[in-house]
Amino acid sequence: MLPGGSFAGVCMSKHGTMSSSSRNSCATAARLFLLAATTLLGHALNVQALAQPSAKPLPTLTHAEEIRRLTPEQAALGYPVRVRGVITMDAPAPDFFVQDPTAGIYVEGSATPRFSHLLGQEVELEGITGPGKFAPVIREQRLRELGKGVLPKGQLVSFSELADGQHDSQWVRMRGIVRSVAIDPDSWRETTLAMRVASGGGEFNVRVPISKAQDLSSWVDSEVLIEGVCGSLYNTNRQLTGILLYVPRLSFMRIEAPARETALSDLLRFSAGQGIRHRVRVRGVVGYQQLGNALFLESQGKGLRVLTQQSTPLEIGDLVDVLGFPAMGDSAPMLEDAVFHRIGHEKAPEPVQFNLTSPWEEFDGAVVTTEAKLLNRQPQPDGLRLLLQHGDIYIDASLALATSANYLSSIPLNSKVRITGIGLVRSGGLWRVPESFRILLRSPQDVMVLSTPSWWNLRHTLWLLGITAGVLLMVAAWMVVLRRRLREQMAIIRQKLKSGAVLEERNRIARELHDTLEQELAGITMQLDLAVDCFQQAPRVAEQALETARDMSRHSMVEARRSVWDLRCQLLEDGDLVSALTQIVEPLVPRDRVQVEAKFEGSPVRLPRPVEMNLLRIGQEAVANAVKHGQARQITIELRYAAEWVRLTVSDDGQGFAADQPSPTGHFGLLDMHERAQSMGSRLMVESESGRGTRVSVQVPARSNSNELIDEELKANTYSGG
Amino acid sequence: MKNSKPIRILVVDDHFMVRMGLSASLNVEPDMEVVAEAGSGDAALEAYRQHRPSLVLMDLRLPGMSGTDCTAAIIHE
Repeated sequence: MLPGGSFAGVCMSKHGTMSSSSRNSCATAARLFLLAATTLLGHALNVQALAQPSAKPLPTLTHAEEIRRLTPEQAALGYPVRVRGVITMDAPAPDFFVQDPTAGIYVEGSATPRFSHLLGQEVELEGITGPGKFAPVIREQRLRELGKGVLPKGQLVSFSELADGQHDSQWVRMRGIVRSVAIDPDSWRETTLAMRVASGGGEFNVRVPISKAQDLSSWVDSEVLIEGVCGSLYNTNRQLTGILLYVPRLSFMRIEAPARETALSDLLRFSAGQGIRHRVRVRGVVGYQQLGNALFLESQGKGLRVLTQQSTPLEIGDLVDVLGFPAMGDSAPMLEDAVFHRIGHEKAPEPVQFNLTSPWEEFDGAVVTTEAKLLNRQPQPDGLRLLLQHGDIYIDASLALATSANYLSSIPLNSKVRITGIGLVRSGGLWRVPESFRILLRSPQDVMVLSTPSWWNLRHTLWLLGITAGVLLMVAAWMVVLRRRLREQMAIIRQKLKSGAVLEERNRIARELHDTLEQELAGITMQLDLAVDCFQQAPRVAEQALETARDMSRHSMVEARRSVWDLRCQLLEDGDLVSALTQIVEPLVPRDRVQVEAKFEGSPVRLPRPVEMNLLRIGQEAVANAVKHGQARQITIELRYAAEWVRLTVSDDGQGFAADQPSPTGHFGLLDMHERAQSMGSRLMVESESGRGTRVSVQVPARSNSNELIDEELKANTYSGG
Repeated sequence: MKNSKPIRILVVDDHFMVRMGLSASLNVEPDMEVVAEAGSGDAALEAYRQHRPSLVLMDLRLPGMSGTDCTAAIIHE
């Protein structure tokens, strides 16, 4: 029907005032707009002449409806207007409303405030169009009173019909129930009765200029029929934000049904035939008051939220009577636009224990208490917010700034606390199910610390784990380093041992050379000296000496070779005497001719090294002799370990020799064995008889002289240096 | 040359070849006789007691009791 944006407008501030100042600002804005269109201020004719010098003059509009159809831009061009209609609102201000047979429209009065507009006066209005702030308007230039007119018959509309804005500036009738009544002496030029009326789908404001303040609180909860001009509240984007009904006189309001009260238990319950919600009276004990905003009562064992602007201070525990309009709260009914008065004082409401199994609406508006874990704390512009956890759900607790205390800031996070306060359940979703639970703290004392968090929280544990891991890592690294060090040291030690072994071997050879070869060479030299000396006088002696020298040097050659290449040390290092003996005799024995039997008795013990070496040599020499000189077929080596002694016996079945006739020449091996036995503090036993084989044995103490022998070895080592 | 009793000698050395050499050299002399040989200090003391030689040819370095100690012991007797 109407083109978009061409509604008539009400020029007033966002807050619904129509004071001269706001009117002036409206006019200024409009004029600035005209300036932008290069028009002159104020004088329409001049404006037209200057703005559109060559264009054909704009047509004169004669009906309000035509003006309302203009877009804001068109209206700003300043179409000349001549309208005949009835003044529907004559507030003592320059601006007014006029309604002709087609529609109602807002008139920006001429610069000089005039108070002569009379309600119901029929006038002829001349002026130009203006964009207005919500819908196009007329800028008054000349007004001619034609006499008393007749107010139009207002159309009965509902709130939802008004809500689309198309009834702006029209004379309408509305039915509703008075929610609140107040006298407002400040917002307007004149004293005003400000009311809030609920109707159908919403609420709207009503303003009636009154000559003197009067108590109209008895009107609250009455059903009323109101006639007036529908004004719109809008924002700077020309968008509708609310409805304000301008009622010119109190007489345009009529009470259709008086106030009546409903019991609280009937709150928002279904009851047939009761379309409009009436006020209820409730008596309850104050659990908490948000001054000038809300009251939380305990009434009949349940919590009730009451929204009220009454700012009479109350104390917790005060008994009050409340009158208010029921409304749907988030999860439970509450009262709106309520008034109260204190009638006494009782015990403060007992907090209800919050639990997850009861329906949450039980706790809405009631004083509840619960244990919870403090998760987080956040200062807000309007107070302090705490985030708490109770079982699976998170609870948002807030405390108003005025009562904030350092005490709450000092509670360590993750503490277990008991909080007490007003429960607020917020519902959401399509089915309005309870979604979150808030607790309104009344004072810092509503939070009671039950236990501070254990030191073993995740962070500390992780820290500790980290430190432990670090230490372990360091220890591991240290161990690696140590191992490497150890390996290097071991290599060095092994190297040293090796060189030590080489040194020892060198010492041994030097010792052998000194102890054996040198002596033997001396012996040989003496024999040769003797041979030279006796060559002439006693050739027989010389020959004997030469033979002896020859045998001696032969023996020495064998000994020298053995002392250099001898493996006995290695053999004794690798194994015990038993295995060394077995191994050392093996190359001496031709397998095809001779059988060797080795017998070992007792439990082998290690003997001092020189002793083991001497035994090894004696065994070796005895076996060698048996093979070489005795032509033995069977050789038996017997090593017997007893507790006190160790005995080595080598016997064979060879040709033997006469024991009482030891041939000193040629049997140096036997002499050597004797010497070795003697050096061990023992004696070599030789039993032999021609054709009966030979039996050589030596017996050494197992332990007794070991220390002495070790000392001797040390001494020998020392000698080797000299 | 006196045809008196030959000089009785005890040879002490720890190596038998040296002893053999010494003994052979000494025995060819008509006025000397090696009456005993010993390979260690202890054996030398025993041989000395047994043979009461006129002369003891002593090796100073011996296993066990040293030649010096052995000589002192013989003088003491």
